[in-house]
Amino acid sequence: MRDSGWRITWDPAGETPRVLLDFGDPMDGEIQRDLVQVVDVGRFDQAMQGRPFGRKNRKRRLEFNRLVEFSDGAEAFLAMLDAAADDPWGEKQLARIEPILGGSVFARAALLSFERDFVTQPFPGYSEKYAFRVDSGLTLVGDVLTIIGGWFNDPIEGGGTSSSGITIIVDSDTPDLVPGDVVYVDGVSGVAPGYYQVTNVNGGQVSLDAPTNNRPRIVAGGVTGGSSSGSVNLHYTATIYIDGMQDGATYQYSAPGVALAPITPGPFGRAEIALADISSQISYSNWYSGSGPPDASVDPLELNGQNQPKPGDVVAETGPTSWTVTLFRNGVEIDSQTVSPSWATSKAYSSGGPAIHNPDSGAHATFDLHGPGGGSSRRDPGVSQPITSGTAQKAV
Amino acid sequence: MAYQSPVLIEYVIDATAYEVAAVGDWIDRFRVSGQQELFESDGHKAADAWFMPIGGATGEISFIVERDYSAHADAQAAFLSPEVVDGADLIQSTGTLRMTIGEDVREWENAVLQSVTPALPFGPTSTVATAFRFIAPPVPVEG
Repeated sequence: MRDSGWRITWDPAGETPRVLLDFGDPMDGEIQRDLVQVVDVGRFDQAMQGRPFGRKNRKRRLEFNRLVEFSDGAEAFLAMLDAAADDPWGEKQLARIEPILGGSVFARAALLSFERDFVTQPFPGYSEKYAFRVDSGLTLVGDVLTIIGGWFNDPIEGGGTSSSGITIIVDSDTPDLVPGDVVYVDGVSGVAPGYYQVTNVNGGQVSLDAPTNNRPRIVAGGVTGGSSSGSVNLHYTATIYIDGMQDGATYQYSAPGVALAPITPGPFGRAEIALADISSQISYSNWYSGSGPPDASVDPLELNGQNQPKPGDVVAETGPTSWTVTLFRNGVEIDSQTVSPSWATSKAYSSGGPAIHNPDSGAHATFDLHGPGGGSSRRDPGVSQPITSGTAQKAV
Repeated sequence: MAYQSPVLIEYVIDATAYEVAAVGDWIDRFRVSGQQELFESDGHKAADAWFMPIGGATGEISFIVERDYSAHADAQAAFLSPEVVDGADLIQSTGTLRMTIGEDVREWENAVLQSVTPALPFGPTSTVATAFRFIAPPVPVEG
């Protein structure tokens, strides 16, 4: 089983695009895309003679699988039964087969079959397999547009996932393109030749999207508490996720407790670094005195990522309330993220007793270096580059 | 590997529900699948056959139910008539396949029990594993 290096989206430009397989989804087999030709085989004397059956007899299929995890078997079972209602029945639609690095492949796809098997290992859930009939791909139509400018990882906007795309400026003020169309881009230094989907058109300026990668949140440990005075210990672990590191560059990171450490990229330029347990503590005293419950603002006590107690209050937090991770490439800082843990617990002190603790979604740092030039999705002026030449042509 | 079923599986024929597997029974290889019918013909694009969904779809629900018997003779009798559940022959009718998970009920209406395949391993064992295969419209409805 491994993490998917593909994202497969059915009807990407439609009203309800379906991501049937996403980057990082667990798979227990590689995707398959086969092409068969019907062949007419005859026997003549002792020699076999085969020839293609007809002029137009090629059939192409796409098959892929993934494992979907649930917290218990009954929930998984119900989800497995209901999933058939959300499957991509009906007309063939454009499908996008997107590798984690490089340009996408587009084809028209119609559902042939699905299979879902209930599993108990490695977790309660189900394994699903899709088979689609796909055509050979898109045809290039219309004029070849000359690219006269543009950029990727726009330095002006300075960050955010929307600017990690590709913008090309073509030599026509009225290119026959609308958002959702697919173009074939070639000859652009730093951009893998291939099919890209148009996200915006503004005169001759055409924005194209680039792959993104959303990581799931991790769960921080729970908190426990005591009676009217005491301390609440917080322990949360965090993982740094990095995708898209390039060959030939050296990467390092710094984090709480780590001055500067190297990162060894794995496949797809990925790395996962688990940080050591980060501890914090909340102390409270004389919480519930004989004169009655404390101030309503702290009873029930709610601790969350936004409302953290300040020193001097009857409730005080000691230890770090946020932490910063910095990413370096070739000794130069290219990105940093400061994250605060988002944890929740509550304690109603009017009745005393232990605090209610809830494991909650913890914070993590994700550095996505996808897109042309392996730039950071947040801020990385180092690899933001202008585009000076190339061609684009619409594909249908 | 078999596991204890979280779901009650019943096959309802003429308002009588026959229990195929109870919650806690040992089941295995529970699979829900479906396929869409495509019309294919030679297309106009060279070297590419044309295809189009025509609006028909078939679903299949299959699973294995394991039962232990205290006497081998009982296991052999069950092996010889696996299609008989609660005294009724399930393979002759169209009915509703009903799955109950806690408070949630999902039903496949117009379900047909297409095949029943028992397995009785050779030797002194008395466990019969019976594979059931139902054909139905692929999307269940809430019961």
